[in-house]
Amino acid sequence: MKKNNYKKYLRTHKLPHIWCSGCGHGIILGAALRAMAELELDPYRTVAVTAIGCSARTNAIMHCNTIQTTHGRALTFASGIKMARPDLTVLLFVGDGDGAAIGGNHLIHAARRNVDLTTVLLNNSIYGMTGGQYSPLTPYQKTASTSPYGNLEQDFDICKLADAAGASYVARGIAHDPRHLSKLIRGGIEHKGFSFIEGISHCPTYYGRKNKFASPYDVMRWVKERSVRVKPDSYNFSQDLNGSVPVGVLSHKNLPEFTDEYRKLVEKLQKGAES
Amino acid sequence: MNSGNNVQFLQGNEACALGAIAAGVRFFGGYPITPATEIAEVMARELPKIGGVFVQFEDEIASIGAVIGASVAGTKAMTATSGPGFSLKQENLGYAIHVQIPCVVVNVMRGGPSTGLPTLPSQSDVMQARWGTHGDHPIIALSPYSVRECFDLTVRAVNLSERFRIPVILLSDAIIGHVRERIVLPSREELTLVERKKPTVAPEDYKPFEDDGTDIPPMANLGEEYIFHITSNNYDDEGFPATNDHDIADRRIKSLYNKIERNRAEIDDVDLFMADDAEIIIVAYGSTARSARRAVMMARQEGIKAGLFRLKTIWPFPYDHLRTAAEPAKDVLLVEMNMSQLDSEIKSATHGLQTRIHGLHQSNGMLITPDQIYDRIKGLV
Amino acid sequence: MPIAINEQWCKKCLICVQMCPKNLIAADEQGYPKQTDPGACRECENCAWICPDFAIDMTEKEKE
Repeated sequence: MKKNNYKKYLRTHKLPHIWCSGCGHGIILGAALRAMAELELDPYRTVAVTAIGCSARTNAIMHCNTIQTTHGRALTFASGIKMARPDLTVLLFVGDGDGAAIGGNHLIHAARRNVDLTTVLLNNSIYGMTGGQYSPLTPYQKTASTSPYGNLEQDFDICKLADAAGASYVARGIAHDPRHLSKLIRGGIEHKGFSFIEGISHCPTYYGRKNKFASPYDVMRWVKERSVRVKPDSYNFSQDLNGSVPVGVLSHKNLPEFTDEYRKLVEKLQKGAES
Repeated sequence: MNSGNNVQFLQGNEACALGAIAAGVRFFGGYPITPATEIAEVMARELPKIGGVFVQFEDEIASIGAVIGASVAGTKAMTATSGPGFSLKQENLGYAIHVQIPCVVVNVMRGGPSTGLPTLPSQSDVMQARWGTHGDHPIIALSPYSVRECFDLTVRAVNLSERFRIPVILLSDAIIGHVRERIVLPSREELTLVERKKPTVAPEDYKPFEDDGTDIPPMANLGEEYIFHITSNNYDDEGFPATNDHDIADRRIKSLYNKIERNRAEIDDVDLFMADDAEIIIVAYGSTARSARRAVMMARQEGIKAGLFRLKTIWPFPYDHLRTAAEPAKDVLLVEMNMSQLDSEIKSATHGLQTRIHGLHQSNGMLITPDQIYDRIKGLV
Repeated sequence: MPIAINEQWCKKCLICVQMCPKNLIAADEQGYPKQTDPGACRECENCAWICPDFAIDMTEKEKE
């Protein structure tokens, strides 16, 4: 097995990173970098877009073109980049706040348009950067600085939402199994269309402590024990896995990709103009 | 509808779209809103014909976000909206100002606040154009007063944004946007187009925000021989966050301001009409300036020495130009379709002069008429 | 094959300790993970993959 030189995609002079000890984000990013290395992506023609929060710190340490944008709006900037330059590979690393709260509307529509973007949502079920507030993906009754008596709200299946909105590749992976997650991200990058990969990360500093997890690994194990691997193309979102969280490629569809459709229109109009 | 040197009967919004295309805009992100929607409709029709991209997004926040992304990717990009959408775009507008990304934001002003008077004109977003986004920041805002100027000032807006790496706002209004006029469009050869300054250093030496002495850092685009990082935080010369560095923050904000202040001669743009010997100077812009021009002519027929000082750039406010024009005059009359937003600029421009400052303000969706201005002029004599 | 741990980057989260299938990693007195028996290491690279700090590398050993 050729050695995976994923460090080629790291700005090593910017390490150590600023994530807390045991934060899952480094594991999720590591899985993504290894996928990039396997695909031998050209750093000069790859753009990693983030927004605001702990997840946003991924691209500061990545060696490729990196754009950090306003909270929740990464998908809008990334759409503009991809639509103007379809030849570039555009990846996104967003948080559960970015992707499911303030940026949820943009997730729905970028997925609906099926723009060829690969979005990794680092789900640590909390707003970590601002000190541990609950997010739309914080489980019911879990504790956070703004849900001190337990979260009264239900979280939701962000993958199911992305699929319903039109994302043509939807997958979920967990920090405990980075090789599997790396394969899912690789599949997303290779897929021509909107790829959405939820990477379940963890926040030992706030989510872990406030919900009585002894160590970072305990949160990872708790996630692992609640998840179940599903085989590609054998899962549909209406299945009930009696509470277990499905992990793997959850849906994979063939839909017209936005920049392809637009290119075909331009070619048709310009051909029409010549005749 | 091509933009060769020919006679057209165009709507202001259409001319604005054609001006953007003539200036090299090849990406438009929009969202439907009266009275700006025609700009998007023209772009939807024209851009794909020339290999450009038009996309209607889910909201105004997304449309300016995509415009900024397209610009970073090396494409001249524009969005257009009206008051409510302009409010939604402010945060990303501030991002583009801070990170110095060229783009054009058209605001076809309508009656505000809130949904207000969607089909009727106003000039009540002028201060929002200056201070809408949070934090200290410079801005450039232009104001067309004819269909031809919708074309010309959009071209100028694109050029200024590329030249100074700053978003430029075009403040049109429901009248100028919807009025249709016979105009002669300039040919491509008559236009001088500006491209953003490119870096020339070797890729490994490239620091995206290192000043080359002009306060306008050369700008690489995505996918070229340079790799770079952009952050929305305060940033060092290499584009990385410097969120606790007071010296960098101080240098950065001053450089952003200097970039505009040291180039006022190139940016400030006013149009004087019968102002040389004027004893009464009308200050107006946009559609109101059309009425003011008529009122000046009516006054001159009565032997009253009135003149018009028309703002083509509203921001940065041309204080010096106004001071020079107002010095010999006895009275300055500011005429605006709002509850008075530029009066403090007029007062600071004319501070210390004998000139008396007056205002004629109306914010009810009705164009201020020549008669209204003429009557006010007569009252000053 | 011994692993190399970059102590400038390592934040002592000790997730690697839990993830080594042969329990070959343990915290030293400063809390840094150390490989206790390099010879027994099967090069499964679990530790390298799971390290959130990119601090663990498989040391290069020329393969015959």
